[in-house]
Amino acid sequence: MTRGLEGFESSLFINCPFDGDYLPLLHSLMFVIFECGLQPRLASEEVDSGRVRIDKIRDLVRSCRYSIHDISRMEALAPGDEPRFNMPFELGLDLGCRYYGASRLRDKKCLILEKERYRYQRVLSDISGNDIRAHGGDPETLVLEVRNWLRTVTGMILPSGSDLWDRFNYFREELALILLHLRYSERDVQALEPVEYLRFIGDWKAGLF
Amino acid sequence: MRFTEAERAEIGALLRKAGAEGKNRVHVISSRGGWRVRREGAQRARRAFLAKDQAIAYGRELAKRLKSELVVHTRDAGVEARESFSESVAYP
Repeated sequence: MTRGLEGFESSLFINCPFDGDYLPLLHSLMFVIFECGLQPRLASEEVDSGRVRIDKIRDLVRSCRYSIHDISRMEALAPGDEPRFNMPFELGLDLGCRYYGASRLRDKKCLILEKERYRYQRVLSDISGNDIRAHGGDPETLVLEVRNWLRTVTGMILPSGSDLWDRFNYFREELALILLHLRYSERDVQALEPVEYLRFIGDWKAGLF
Repeated sequence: MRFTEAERAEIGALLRKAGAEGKNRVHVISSRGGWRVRREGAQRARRAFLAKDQAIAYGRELAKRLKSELVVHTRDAGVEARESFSESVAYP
């Protein structure tokens, strides 16, 4: 595994849903990115009610060479629910940054994820020429897809997808034991902020290696 | 939710302890539609199964032989069950 990329080169913007149904996918996504030597960046990492969200997104888009956009919430989760358009909007900002941004931004790399392979074509045909990867709502598939994409775009030598998936399982087990020790209820665990979860991933890695 | 420095130090110690104790644990892990059994720290998975109950049975025997622990995972990597065959670790 290669570490050592700095700042812009090592940062990866995650643009994805933050609802409870998506949490297992988000957790596995943060884990595989971190394990592959990159720094996951999220809009929720900075809690400042004085800044509007679009400014945070703009700064993230500008400061990350890599990005992963999961647009699987463009359709309503259940009858009566509204579809979510934040993810495709932020994807548009990221793609636009390549066209209109400074020179280093023209070489940004992104991965677009969907639940089903061709579902997005019904609602976002502008990106039908892009290579979209499907995770099927399965964290293991997500880990494998993200690992394979990172291998391609970074050129780094990475652990195998199955090894990364196994390690995520080990991490989940040890984290569960620790949170139990700290008297966290199941509700507390569900309420962990993504940034806090990311710190646990970092602590786990630092403690073991 | 934010941790104090003392809590973070405690978490760090727990993580190191879990890592030190975890090298022989046997895990039943979801694997591309099936299940595989892998000992923590081993280079590769021990065996793969289509049925989860078969993987659990194999993993349990392996954990008994190693006087270790069996950890059964869910499809999303969560923990479904733990069994200890170690003299030093007991789960409620």
